[in-house]
Amino acid sequence: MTDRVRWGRGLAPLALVGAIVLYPLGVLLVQIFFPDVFAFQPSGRFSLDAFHALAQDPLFWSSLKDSLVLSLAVAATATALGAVVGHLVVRVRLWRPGVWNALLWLLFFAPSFMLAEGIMLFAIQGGVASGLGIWSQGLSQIVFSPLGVGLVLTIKLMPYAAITVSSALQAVGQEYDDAARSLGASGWSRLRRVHLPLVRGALWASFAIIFAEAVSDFGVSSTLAASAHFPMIPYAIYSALNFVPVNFSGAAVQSLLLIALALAVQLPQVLAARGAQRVMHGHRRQWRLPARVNGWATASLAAFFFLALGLPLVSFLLWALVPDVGLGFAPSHWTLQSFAALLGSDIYTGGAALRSYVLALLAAGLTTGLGIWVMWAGSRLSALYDTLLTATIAVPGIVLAAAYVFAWNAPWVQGTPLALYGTYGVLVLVYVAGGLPYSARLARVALNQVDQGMERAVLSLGGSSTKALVHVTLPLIRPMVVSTFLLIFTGVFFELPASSLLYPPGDPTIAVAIVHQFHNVAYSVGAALSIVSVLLLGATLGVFRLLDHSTRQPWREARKEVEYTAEAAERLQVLQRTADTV
Amino acid sequence: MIAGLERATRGTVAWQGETWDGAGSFVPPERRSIGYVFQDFALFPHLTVAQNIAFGLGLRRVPRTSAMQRVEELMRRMRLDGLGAHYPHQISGGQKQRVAVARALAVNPRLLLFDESLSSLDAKLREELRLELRELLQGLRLTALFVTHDPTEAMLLASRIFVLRAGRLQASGTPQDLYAAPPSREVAETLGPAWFWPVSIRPAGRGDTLLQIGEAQLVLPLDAPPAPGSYRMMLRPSSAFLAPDGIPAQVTRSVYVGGAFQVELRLPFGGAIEVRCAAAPGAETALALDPARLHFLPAD
Repeated sequence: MTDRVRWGRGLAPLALVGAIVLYPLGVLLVQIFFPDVFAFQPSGRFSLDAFHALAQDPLFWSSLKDSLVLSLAVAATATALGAVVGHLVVRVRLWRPGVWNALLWLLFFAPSFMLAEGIMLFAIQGGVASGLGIWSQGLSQIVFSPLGVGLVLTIKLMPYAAITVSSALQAVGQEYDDAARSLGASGWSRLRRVHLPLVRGALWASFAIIFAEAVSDFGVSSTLAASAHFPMIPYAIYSALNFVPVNFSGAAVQSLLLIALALAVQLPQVLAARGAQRVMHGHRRQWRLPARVNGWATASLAAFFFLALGLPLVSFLLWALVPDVGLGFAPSHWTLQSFAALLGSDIYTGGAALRSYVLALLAAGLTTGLGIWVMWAGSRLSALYDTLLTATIAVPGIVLAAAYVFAWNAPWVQGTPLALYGTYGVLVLVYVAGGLPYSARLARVALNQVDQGMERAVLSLGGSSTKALVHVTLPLIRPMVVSTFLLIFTGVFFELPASSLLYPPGDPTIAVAIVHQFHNVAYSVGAALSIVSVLLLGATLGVFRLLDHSTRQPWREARKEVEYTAEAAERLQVLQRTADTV
Repeated sequence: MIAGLERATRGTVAWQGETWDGAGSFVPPERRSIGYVFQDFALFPHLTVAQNIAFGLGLRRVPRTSAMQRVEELMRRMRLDGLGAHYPHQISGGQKQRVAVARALAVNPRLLLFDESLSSLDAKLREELRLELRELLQGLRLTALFVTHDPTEAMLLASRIFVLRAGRLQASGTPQDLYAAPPSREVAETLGPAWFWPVSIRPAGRGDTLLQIGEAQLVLPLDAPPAPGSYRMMLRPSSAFLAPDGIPAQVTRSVYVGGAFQVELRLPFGGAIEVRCAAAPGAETALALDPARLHFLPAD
């Protein structure tokens, strides 16, 4: 292969990244500074009117203040809580230790709008709490208040800190603790002088990422926060684009602000990472756990996860099976009519689940394949692509969706096949754009594990690079391929912010349909739809895992390493903004 | 277990009459006053070299001036001058090892533990540091327990060696005694290359001893011959040498190892041994034994 061909192959992914990420974000900036470009009579006039208009809107300042205060509080609380949970998971002997890690990941992947809706279904008057006879005005007031919004976000975002801190603690290992003990340090001294400084980077990173997630979370801001009349920026962007009078420039400026906030909070973390510390172990010692199971820690974790996952799930189940849940649980109240309603002709029911299912399969397949292609074809520039794509993770979903509204509905695409706004095409594209940073990063880690000598061996035997990829590399990285596919599939299936802005008219996705049902007070149908969706997703993940397991070849030992890498990479993708500090 | 980082499930750990673990009592590691040099050194990555060394002093609330003096003294002694402000990742493997020792010594421990503390270094550095450490330990007048899998390291550093196998004490003694007269084949092989020939021993008159090795008979002037009977005779590489009038032997392998040849010899009665010699012998040669370097173990 000539150098020119190699460079051509390496630059090809840039066109893809440009089209699905850089172009829409560029158009967003154009919308802000050159608003007349999109006018009926386009002109290139530079203007800062969008900023002036927003600065004079008291609602904007109130939503900005509320978003900032709440996100800072959530970041502090969720980081502290996550640090405790991370500590318990790594350093305390728990009953069935594997369960708690699994629950952490489950909570991590759980869509925030479903957690919020689940807790709302419990706390509303006439809801599950009423049926159980424990409802009070106070309970409702707490849930439907800034405090309630903060609690739900804290619960939802805590796993970021728990996973980051537990990874950092595992990286540190037992040896520093032993060294401090042998030098005479008591438990408190070790915590203060050794453990905390060593996980400081992880704590900073958690705080930053949780703040960024909280300030840009659309799921809670469009459900619980909206119901609690607590305006937050993500929902303000959605409202500016979706409700009359449409305010394109306002949405664009707020989108830019959201990106700036997400990036600004990374700054102290980056500065902190410049510190001189580095964990230097060649091999680290596993943490030594006490011989006895810690009942209190286990019970506390069980209580937390019941509140975080069990309560919403039970609320969904009860509402789905007992439409008059507030009246109690007498046998006569139990019915399957909510599930039957999903088979009706309403566009916001069962059809939405199937639609999302197909879209998620398509987007996951495309995203996984493109991620591998970007890192394989662009291997010479893989670090550049990695940096570029990782930077786009800082772009919140609602902002990317807003950018897509401008980009694929712009005057210059009208009348061409690129006028994708309002089609399934734009939905698939935005899903791919959102998932590509993760799939590309996972692909890069896995591809780096494959010995380059293998491709050279194929070439020396007369094969091509493509043949080496298909017949050697892909079978070796299959565990990563499967993991990435399922990761993206899960994310896309319940994707809300982009779907809300971009779904084709009359064809809502499952997340849009669920939120619609709850907004329209059809709680039982919304709950039934949620249950069916979760079951559908769970069954699919199970089938894929079974298929993957049953079709494995006997050379598992070679795979274990790659699989381990894929698993580690999955964790890393969570910590994507923190890799240099943990 | 000695440091208290693991609890003993059986038995007792005691130091100078004080029970550290066992019989219902347990002294936690932080109260044992032990210096511990870890395998990977476990230098705190967030602290500088000086802060690492001063860590234990800070915990003991040693006044700042005294602590600084102690740190400076140890840094001078461990040849770490000028590295006080460096972080662990900025210094070499050998320097890390010296910092780890200095940190352990700073608190004036009653006992110094080394957990395979040289094993993570490359061979050349390990060899250099062994000698440094030997000099340091000789000058400290402090009990140090050095755990190693390397017999050369053990013999070079220790005044007394304890050989453990599967958690049980197999032998103890000075390096010289254990090497020359190990109590068992396992201990002999743990400490270096050894060959075992079955022999019968009986007096040969005039203070000599007759060794019957298969068909061959040797008469040697052993200083302290064992009682007549059957034995396994242990030979070290230094127990035999090539001699024209010795036992006929066949050279089965001869390898140049730089400055000498490593020669494997097989004897007519089936015994074998490896010796080093200056020149490569021919295919047939003869072997003599040094009676002062033979050791006899009971036959199986």
